[in-house]
Amino acid sequence: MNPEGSVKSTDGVSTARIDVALLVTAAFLIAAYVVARFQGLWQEIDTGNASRYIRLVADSGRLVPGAEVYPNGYGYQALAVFLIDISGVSLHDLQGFGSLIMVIWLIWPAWMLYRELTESRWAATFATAILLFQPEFLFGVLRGTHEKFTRGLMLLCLYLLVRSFRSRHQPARFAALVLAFYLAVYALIAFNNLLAASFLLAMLAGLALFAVVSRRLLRSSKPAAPGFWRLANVLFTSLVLTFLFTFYAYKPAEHDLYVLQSTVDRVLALALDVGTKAVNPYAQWVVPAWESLPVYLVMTLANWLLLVLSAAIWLWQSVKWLTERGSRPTEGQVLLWAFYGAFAAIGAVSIVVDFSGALSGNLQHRTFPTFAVLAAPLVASWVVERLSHGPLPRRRAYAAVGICVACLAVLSTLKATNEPTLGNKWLFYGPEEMVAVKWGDAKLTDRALWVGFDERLFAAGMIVHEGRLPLYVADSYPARLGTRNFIISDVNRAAGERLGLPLPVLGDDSITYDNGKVQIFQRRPRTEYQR
Amino acid sequence: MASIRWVIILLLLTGLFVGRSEKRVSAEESKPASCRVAERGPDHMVLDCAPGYTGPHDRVFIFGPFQSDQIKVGDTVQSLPDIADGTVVFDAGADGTANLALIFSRRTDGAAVASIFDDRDGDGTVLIQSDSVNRVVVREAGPVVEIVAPDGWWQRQDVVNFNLDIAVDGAVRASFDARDLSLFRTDGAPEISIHVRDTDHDGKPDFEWRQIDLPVPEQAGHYRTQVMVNVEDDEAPISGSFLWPLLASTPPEAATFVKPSYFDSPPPIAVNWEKSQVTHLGEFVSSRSGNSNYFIYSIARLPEGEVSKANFENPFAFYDLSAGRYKLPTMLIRNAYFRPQDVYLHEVLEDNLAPTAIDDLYYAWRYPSEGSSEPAAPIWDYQINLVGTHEYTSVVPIGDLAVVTAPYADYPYWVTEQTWDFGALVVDETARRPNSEGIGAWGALLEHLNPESYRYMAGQIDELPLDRLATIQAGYRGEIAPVLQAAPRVYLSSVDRRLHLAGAASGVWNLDGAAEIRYRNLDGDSYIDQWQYLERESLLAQVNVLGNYGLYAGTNHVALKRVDQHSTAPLYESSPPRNHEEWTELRLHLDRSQPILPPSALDEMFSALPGQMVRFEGAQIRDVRAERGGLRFVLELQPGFSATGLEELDITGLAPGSYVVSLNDGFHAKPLELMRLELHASAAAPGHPHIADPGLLRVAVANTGLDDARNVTLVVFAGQGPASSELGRLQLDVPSGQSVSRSFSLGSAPSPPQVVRVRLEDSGGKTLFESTQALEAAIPVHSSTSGASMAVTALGWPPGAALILLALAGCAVRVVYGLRNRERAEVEP
Repeated sequence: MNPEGSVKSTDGVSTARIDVALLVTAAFLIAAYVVARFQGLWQEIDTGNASRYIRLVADSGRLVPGAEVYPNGYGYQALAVFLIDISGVSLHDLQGFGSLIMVIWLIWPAWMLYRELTESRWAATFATAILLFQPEFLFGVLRGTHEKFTRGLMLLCLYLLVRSFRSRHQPARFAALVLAFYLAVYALIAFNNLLAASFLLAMLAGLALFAVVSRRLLRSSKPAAPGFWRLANVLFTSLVLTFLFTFYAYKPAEHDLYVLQSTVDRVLALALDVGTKAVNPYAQWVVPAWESLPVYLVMTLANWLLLVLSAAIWLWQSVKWLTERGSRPTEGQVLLWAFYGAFAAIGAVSIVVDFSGALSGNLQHRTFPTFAVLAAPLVASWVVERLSHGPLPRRRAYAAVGICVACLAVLSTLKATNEPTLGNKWLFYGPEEMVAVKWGDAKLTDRALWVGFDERLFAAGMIVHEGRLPLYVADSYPARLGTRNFIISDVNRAAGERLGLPLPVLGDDSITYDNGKVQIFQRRPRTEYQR
Repeated sequence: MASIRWVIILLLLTGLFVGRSEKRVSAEESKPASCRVAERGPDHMVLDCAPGYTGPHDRVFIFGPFQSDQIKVGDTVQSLPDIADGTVVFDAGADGTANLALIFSRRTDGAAVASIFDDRDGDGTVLIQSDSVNRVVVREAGPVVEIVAPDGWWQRQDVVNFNLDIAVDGAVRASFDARDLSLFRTDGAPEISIHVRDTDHDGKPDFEWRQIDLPVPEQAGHYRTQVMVNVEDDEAPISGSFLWPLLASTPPEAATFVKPSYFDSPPPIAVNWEKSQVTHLGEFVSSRSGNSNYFIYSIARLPEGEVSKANFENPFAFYDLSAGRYKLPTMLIRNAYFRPQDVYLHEVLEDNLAPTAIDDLYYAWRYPSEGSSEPAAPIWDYQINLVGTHEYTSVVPIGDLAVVTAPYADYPYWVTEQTWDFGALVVDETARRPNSEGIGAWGALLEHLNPESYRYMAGQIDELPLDRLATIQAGYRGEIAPVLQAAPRVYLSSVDRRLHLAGAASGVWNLDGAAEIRYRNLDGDSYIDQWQYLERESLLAQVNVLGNYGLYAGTNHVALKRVDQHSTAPLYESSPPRNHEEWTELRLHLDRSQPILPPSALDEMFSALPGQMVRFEGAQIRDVRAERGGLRFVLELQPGFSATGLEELDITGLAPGSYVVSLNDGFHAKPLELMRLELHASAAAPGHPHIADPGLLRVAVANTGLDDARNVTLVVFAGQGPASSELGRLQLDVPSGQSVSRSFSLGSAPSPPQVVRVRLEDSGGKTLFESTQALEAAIPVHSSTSGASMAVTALGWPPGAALILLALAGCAVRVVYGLRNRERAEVEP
């Protein structure tokens, strides 16, 4: 290995291009699968809300259009408005199709980062594949929200940090990389200040861990200290930048934070990346969202494998290195080990906070993808090493790993898209349902309309309506007192049966709308105040 | 100026030597304060007050400069000398503790400003110091109250200028519902702004509005804007002030936000001298304590400079219908009003807001007894409650506000000339409870029946909980008209000579907690036609007057009478009084028809009706109802009964036994047959091809007999035999000749039933009738298709998707497998 950080290449740039092209193809296939499986009619509530925020920014021409604003950053709205303006696509198409295609961009920063961390092109490719096939990660980045950019920017920031650390003895390169890091960090903050804050804290912790153990593990003649302190300053400055953004530059972020009652809550929210509103439907339906516990476990196998394998590898490495058995680790290995430890610690604290119920209760689902970013190269690096030097016959080992990864890729894709044959939380909708929703929007102004057992059609309606809130008052299960109109579609019927819940329609209700596949039922008025 | 420092040192030293003596303020000690100038310098003055404003001895330090030299040592001072810029420090108890500081200054635009500092850090004193140029400086957070008088403090000699803009910054009761004072902080951001206006500069404030800005969620239900208007410009003069017209010497326990008296106005600023804190900044313009005023307490903010729709108490208005005869109001109207889609009902309506406006209104009036002195608060005689969905359309300018509300002068007509959905009348017969806000027995109807009432108005539920209006507090009479659908009218009944609500369906008069009169309107016209006297729920006497007949029943005798319809028509009928003439006329009629009989004397009331009586001794009646313009009832003649006056109604041939009697075009009696019940059950299948609803079972019970079926229980079972399960049970009354239908959901059956069993039981649980019925109507059942396959069916499984998944799997394999050959070369040895 070259201690200055460049990776030796045997067959040049073209091999790397093939690797990246393969990963891009995989990402494209995932996006294509969503379109093919659901005919593009696949959405969820966060995408609906993001569409709403984009619409407000586009209509007002302001980053803070008013009281209704995305509280954690303006980046995604601004980018979306820019893309709509230059491309001429509609907000619906951008959120419905564009957001799927844009997953592809993640491949480059991920691959570059993993190549730096693992010092192996193969391991980088494998790690990127592992990350891409993580259902928790995949679900987040498939949606039409800031997440595909915040995750990509996190990868980019980590890459720039590692590169700059390796370039600490080349001032000009170091300065250029730090400048690029600041730009990437600011972009990350602008997309989501909470995610940025927790990420920066984790990086700072990782760097601190590296500083503590590197002298003992590396026994390097070149001290890491000067570079370390410079990078620690950079990270600290980035945290200050986050603070300034939250409390001065982007006022909605401050207000959102002040909703939390105590200082401890606020600090935890900043450090652990939690919004004040838990609206992630993916998180609200963990086990109940699937047909059975075994189905859930199989669908999330990639998560568990990554969690268990990475933890085991990290512990094994810790014991091996700290007891000074075996070969001395490289600087890249120690850096990866330290970052993994820090990100895992943040994830562990998140789970503890979740169980305490102190905050919104879905932290682990927000922090797991961040954790996966570091766990993937750890596992990939170890697997590469085993495959290269391990005792297993190589052909069989490759075949086993290949089949295993292929299965995980399929399962993760099914999990990330909430495959309706296996899951109970459906994100698809039918075109006839949207026609009925549009009718309700036109005819039921200010009246409550039950759209289903969850917010599925409400979210889809917001996207179909280009981010405009419906004129009806959306209701879902259990129907609120006074709701007198109900959308009953084939999908709602099937959902009711799947969930074991009755449809909220009575025998003598009137059908006020019917398009053959979807009806809107109305309670029969029994007093003069009912209509 | 140098002496200022010495005066402050004197103040502080006195405190050291005298100590913090407890400042006692009590009602006994609150004699008028008398202050004498004890010390006088060119720029300061010390007043010695004995008795003082809080106790036997207080002291006031005034730091000038003074605009006049006329005040000398030893002079008695009634009010503060004119100081444009200066400070007044109040030392209650003369113990060297500064309890309040009042700093007068002038703004650059000439406006006079008074800044009031009190103790905000809880040490019981206001920290006063002098600065380097010997100016008095208050080292306390604040000011807690800042008053700006753009035109100065005085209109002219001794006439206070009530054109004021006031900011309240801290825990001071300056709003009607400032309940949670912990939300108020003295932090430089005032929570309440008050604007008082005296437009004709006569020293009487005409109106004021207050804006309350608390750090609470947008939809929280607290008053955001309060408006008080005196229409006649006759606000009672301020009395009880101390040295400064706005500063009260009131003991803290007597201080209130609302003006407590109809006859004078306390100074608005009240201070707790013991705690050195301003406690209240009360009304300048009375909300309630007047007879020509109104107020609006709006939960929705009413911003200045734009038309805004007020809600909740909008408006609460007081009127003098006596043409100045009484100081206290003789009529009031309150509307607890909510706008269409009013978000402030979101909690009770669970966010399904009401599409229409909601009016929950009452209209009370009174007739004070002649010759008696005015009580502390009005005792209201009559109160009409009205519920509807009328929306205000008029815009009323009030200072800088433009409020959508009912104009004060039009308000009584707006109420009485519109059709209302629901009405009630409450009469204070003997309770005689004073209340500045009307009769509290049922209060406002929707508030009384909350939360179901608002849900009913919003269309969320099908019925109002009217059973809560079946009783009323002792001393009150209440009547309800659940389907009024008319403008409100009252009438004087010629039967009981009391005022009733036209269109009332029923009523109750709680005589003393044990005895009561119950009213019914059997024929659904505008007038009460049944009076029942009960003691501890036992019916003792009953009178019915319907069409050309009257009926009286005691415990063991029955009387009938042919009456002339004209003689039983109302003595007088009108709208509730809206002006002096109507008020006077109604009073005249009430005085003329003053009831002379006690309310329980129903037999005498019946006897007083013109006409000859038929009387049965040893007889009872039951099941009285209206029929074809007359009465129908069951007459039970006991063995040995006697009758007199039978010829009056051409009654012949009655023997002991039970009869169904019709009294319309004469007396017709048929021997009573037992009730004959028929039962029919049918499945009301949803009829929708799409819905997997289990459907309804509709059960009709018909009574073809002559006797009414009372308290029968209808029980429905799904299936037959021991495996059957009960779907539900209902208690019913099925009057003779009528049919009653009820529906049962089949959804509660374990599986869709093919057969239902229906049973009728009497009040003792004995089976009267039982029927088993096959459900012929097709009831769609759950699809046999599994949910998963239905989902797939609904969605479809495009073959392309599967191929893409295969390609993805291939990609994954290629990532692992295809690069195998390169790995060994790449990895470092």
